[in-house]
Amino acid sequence: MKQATAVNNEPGRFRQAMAWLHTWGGLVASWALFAIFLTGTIGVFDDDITHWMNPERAMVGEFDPQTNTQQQRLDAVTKGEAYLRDIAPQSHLWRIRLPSEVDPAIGLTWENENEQFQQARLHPVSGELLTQKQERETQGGHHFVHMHFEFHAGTAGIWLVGFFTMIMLVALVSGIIIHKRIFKDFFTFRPGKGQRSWLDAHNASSVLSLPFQLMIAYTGLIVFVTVYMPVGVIANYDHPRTFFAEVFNQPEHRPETGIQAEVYPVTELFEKAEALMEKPASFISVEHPGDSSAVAKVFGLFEKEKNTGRLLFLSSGQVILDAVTGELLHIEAPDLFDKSNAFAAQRIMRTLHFANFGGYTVRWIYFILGMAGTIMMATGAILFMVKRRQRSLNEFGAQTPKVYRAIEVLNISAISGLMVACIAFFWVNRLLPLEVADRAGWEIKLFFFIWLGSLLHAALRPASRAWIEQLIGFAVLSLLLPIVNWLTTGQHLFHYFARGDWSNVGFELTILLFGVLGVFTVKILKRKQQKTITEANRVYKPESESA
Amino acid sequence: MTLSYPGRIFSLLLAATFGGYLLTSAVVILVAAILPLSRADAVITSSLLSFAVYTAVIIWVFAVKDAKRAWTGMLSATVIIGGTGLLLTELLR
Amino acid sequence: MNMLLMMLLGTALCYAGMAGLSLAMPRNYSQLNAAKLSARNNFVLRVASIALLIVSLWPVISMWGVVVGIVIWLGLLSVAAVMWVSLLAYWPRLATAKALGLSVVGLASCVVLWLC
Repeated sequence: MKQATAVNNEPGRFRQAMAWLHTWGGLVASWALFAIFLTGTIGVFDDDITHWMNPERAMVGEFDPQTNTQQQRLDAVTKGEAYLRDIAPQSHLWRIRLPSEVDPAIGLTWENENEQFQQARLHPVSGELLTQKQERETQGGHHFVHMHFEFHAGTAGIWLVGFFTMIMLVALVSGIIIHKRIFKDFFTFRPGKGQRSWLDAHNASSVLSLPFQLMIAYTGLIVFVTVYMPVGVIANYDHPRTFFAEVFNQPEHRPETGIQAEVYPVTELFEKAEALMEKPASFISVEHPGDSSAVAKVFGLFEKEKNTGRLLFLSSGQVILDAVTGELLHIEAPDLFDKSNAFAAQRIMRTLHFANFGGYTVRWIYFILGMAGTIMMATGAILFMVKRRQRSLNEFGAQTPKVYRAIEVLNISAISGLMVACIAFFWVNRLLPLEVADRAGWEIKLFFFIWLGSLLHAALRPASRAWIEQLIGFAVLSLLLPIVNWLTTGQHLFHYFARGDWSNVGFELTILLFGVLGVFTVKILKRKQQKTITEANRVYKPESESA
Repeated sequence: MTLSYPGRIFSLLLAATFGGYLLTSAVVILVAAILPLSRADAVITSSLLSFAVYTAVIIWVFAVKDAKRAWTGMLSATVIIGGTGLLLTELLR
Repeated sequence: MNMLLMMLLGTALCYAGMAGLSLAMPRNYSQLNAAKLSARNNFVLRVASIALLIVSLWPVISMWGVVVGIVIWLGLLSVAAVMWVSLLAYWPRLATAKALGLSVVGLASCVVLWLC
């Protein structure tokens, strides 16, 4: 900062430049960032959400994978293997996940001829394919996680999220620079004072949670560091696989040869790996099955207790075998971290971002501070318009009123519209008929349709009405969700209480709380609009002399 | 050559995003080359720091607020830093 | 249950500490009371608040260990500050009474747990 001030000769100019950057960079990114942040915050509870969205499935925690006998584990692998050999004898990848506490079924993933990932779940005892009649096909909490890191748009989405995250970092730093009284205003929030209150709310939500916001943005970029910043690897290695082999301390990935070769019995590979690790395994993948380069990776069961109090997780154990000959290629001993310090730093940042340490305590802290982040973005975007509603700054000449209107419409659908879409997503899960083909895909499509609908609604209605109507929609959808659940599945809060299903109790109570908050927000907005009804006539009138 | 106001802003945006990314990449190469760590560790460490560098570069571009100066400053820095970095990578590898 | 207890204890002490630090600032104190705090009382309040924040490290570290404990503590500081600011804006007296109550209950529980 010192240097930059020197460059500009006058310190005021630097701050002014940063204010410009913060205002416009923040506004343009705020719509996308609000979506990234809201879905990420909800995604903290992805497993609990998946559980609620699967009412036919056994309770989370009801099944403990550690109680599985070896015979049960091997049977599960055999069932998965038979299914995969039948459906995808030649593939790039097979994965068999054993029943876990999150999902008591056998989970299968493979790549089809078009290199698309396919999934199926088998009954853990009978080995039959689980159909939509036995269990609804749903996207579950993954929807929020995937929205969060890729907007459901694959690699392009990952890059977009990275782009906006960089803007967030820049907005945070420029925000710190232009905030003149960080410590003096540390605890300041004065409600009911118009523009001043919006600024207070924006400042307080960001300053009080600043360490979290900086951490989450930076570690988010670090999760995909080799995607976003591949240049170091490119400059130093002929092929990325050499780099990854060095980092993971493992043999290099074997490229496909095109020579056909029979896959070694997968169940035997699994059994062999368990014997080598001297512990139960929970997951096996086969790369290029059917090719002579086929490799099997067997992963040991993750033991939570061993990683309590740690940010750097110990290895759960991993065995790499030649999937044609069955020969051992590499073994990573369990309960150790045998990799370099730099890699450990990356892993720690990743753990910090994923919030998969410290149990529910950390999840709730992340949820609350994530909500503070969404408030920071929403109040920032709203503040932009509140300032200009009082008096147009005429930045776009004759086009200014039109641009302001567009910004207002985008604000409404990006903030309240997305909130409506997120709750409606849960309604879709309960109301969409179970036999619909590609049901999980339709859940996502309808989520986007509803979000798009909110944009149309915002474009057709006056701004002040649109805000209130969408927030009423949000409150009503939230408050009625438990009733819809009761009518469609016969399950309800008291039933969850009686069953001791705290995950679902927490889910429904949180939704109800948001419904109540929605009602209060609507009430406050209505009261304010009555008060300022006379001022409303002055809105959007550019003042030519203020240029 | 003088640009219109939207043109200047657009040029600044390009300088910050693409120019900034290039300069950051150059810094990553140089830092990875000079860190006294194993090759993989040096690459990871410099990549982990890259986003802080990128942020600083973007802030610098908008602090200068002069597209021409931002572009010349950044491109020359990229060439010098990146060139040295690549040279050292070849020599020290 | 133990984890929930330690989390609540940590949050309570952080909340009380943050409230104290806030009330040691004239602007926030005036939201509560028209009279001003004397310089000496102000100093005492500030020291006591910092002490509360330091004590709040104990439940989290004893539950989650040093590394994760400190991360959780940093998170709780923010959470407590957000809670305090939103309460202070609408119900300053309730917010302060809650801070006083939580500091007493929190400290007492720490002593009891420590002795057991």
